[in-house]
Amino acid sequence: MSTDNESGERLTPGQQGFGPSDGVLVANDLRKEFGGLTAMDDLSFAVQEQEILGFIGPNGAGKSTTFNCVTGFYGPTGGNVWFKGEDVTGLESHEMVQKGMARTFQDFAPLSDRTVVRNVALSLAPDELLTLAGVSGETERLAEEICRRVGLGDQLEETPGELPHAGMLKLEIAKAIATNPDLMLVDEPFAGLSSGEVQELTEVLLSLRDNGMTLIVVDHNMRGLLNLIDRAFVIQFGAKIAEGPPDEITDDPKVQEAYLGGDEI
Amino acid sequence: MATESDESVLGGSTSAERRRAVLEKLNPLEMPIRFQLGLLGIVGFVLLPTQLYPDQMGRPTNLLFLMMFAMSWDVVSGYTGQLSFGHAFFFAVGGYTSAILDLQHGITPVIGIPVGMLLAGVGGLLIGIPALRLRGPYLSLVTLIIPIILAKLFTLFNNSLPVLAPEGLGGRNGPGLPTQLFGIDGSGAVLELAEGYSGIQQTALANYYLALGLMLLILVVLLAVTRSSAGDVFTAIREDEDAVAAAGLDASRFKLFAFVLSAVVGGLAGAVWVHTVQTPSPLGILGQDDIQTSIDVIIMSILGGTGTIVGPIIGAVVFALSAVVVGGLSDVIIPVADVAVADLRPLPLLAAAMATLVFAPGGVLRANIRLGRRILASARGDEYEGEPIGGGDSALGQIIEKYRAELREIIDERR
Repeated sequence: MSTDNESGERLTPGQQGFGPSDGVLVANDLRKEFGGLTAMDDLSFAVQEQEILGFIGPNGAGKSTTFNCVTGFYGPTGGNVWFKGEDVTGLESHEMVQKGMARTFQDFAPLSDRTVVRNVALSLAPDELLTLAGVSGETERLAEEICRRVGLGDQLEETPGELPHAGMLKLEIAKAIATNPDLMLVDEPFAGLSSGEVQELTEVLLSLRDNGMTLIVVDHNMRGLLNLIDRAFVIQFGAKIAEGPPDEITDDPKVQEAYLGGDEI
Repeated sequence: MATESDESVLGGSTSAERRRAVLEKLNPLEMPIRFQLGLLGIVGFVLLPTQLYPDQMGRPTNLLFLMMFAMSWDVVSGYTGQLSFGHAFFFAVGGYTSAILDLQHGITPVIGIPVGMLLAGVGGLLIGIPALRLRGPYLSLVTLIIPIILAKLFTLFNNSLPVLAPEGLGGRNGPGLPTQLFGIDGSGAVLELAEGYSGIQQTALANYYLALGLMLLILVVLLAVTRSSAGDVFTAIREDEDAVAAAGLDASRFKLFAFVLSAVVGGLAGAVWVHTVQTPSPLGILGQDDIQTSIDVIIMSILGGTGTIVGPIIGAVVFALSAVVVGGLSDVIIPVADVAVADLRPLPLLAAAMATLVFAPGGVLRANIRLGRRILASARGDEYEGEPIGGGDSALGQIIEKYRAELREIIDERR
């Protein structure tokens, strides 16, 4: 936590923007252009350790672009990303993961040729070329344990194709957990879940936070996120329009305008 | 990193545990039937020379080399899905390097073979690095053209290639016959054996068992790599590179490693080949039209089962047997067309490869493992429920799907 700035303005970028020590993950003036289109317009934000940040915006607001730039799947056009005080701008996605930043995919990316547990085991594989890892089955046991934690204990030997929607989400999270991250970016975890499943997953995510993990949860609306997030960060057209505690943010006039006639916040 | 925490969770005794697990897997009595059958197959190879005359040993020895080449293709194309259509390039680099070092620089094959292997590895880097940026169809084109360019270079530097090959690469005929590893007394071979007929006999046997030993060595190395977690990463690359990155793994490094490993293995086999049973020449190594050997190793892998390492060995046996059987049918005339079956070579084999693609895309190996499991299950009175994962036939399907996806990307960009 940054201690030098106790006022309520702490989370608002000042004139000089954010610095490396303002949080575990800091984005400063992050910018991404595709041709002439600006998908992310000098976006700045900071996430504190063990915080759960809700990253919210209407469809097409630039959430996924931000996600992809932070995690190294896209190179940003401008700006900086600091992770644990280190400049990680433009690193490759696998390097981000190795530094402790995991992500899930909204459109799921399980390997359909192998079982649930072996999907998770891939995240445990060492980034080494010549290794005996995986021969004795200890990786598999750890992978099984992670699956049980997220509630996939009964589906270990099924293929991702056999899993229900909620199971795919859990698998995505299990794969991310297996990389042993300090920060996890979760993309639309509650899309298409029943309220019981939302509750179950919320508990999993909260327990991860209790064990020291920082979480950024992306969603296009806040329904379901209210019990989970500490702070909401709302963007539209690639720029921040509001941020604050989730119950206050829904009353913000800018936020209501952004959602007017469109999605429900 | 994740691995360190894994070990602490499990009490830190993992290296001892791994060693025990590896040893347990190597106990023949505890092995599943398919492994026992595999061992039986190896015993068959060891005993094969007892059934043949020395002058019949050439083809089985050659076959062992083809197996090595097919395995070398499988580790990069079958596992990571980077389709190579010109793998004989690596065999030729290994073979020519060692032959020319011997013929024109007077360097013994004992040193020349490892050098050829290293140079093939460099060739693997030269193709593997651009391959990281080339998508499927482009990579295939590049690999298809490379052995043809190599053959043109052989002709271009027919008489002399300064420093590297002062007496030239020999064009279509090759640089000549290099020192053999084994030969009869007085033949100038590295290891001179007995005189006369028994010398010929011993030479044939020595070549065969050297090739068999080399094949088994390559088999063990490639099995160890592909059955470790690196193999899981290879197959994950075939399926989805983003998922590999999201697991914190550097897909590029693994892809390049697969290419270099494959090239080194191919180069080693190619280098030993020219000092035993093959003449270094475009026709001898690259095959007909400078491309036939490259195509043959793909056919062998598909017949046996891509993405298995063991499959290409079985595929090579099927390949060779079919050649023998079809070749033996010289008296059987196909009516109407009025040609002997034997003259149709290699059409029946190509037809078999096509049939495999359509009916058993997983290859002969997987089809038989499944058949065996079904028989075992019904012997136990169970119902065989099929493969637990993805049908098991998906390796080739995945390679083709990867190729298609990359083709679609290219087409979309053009729009």
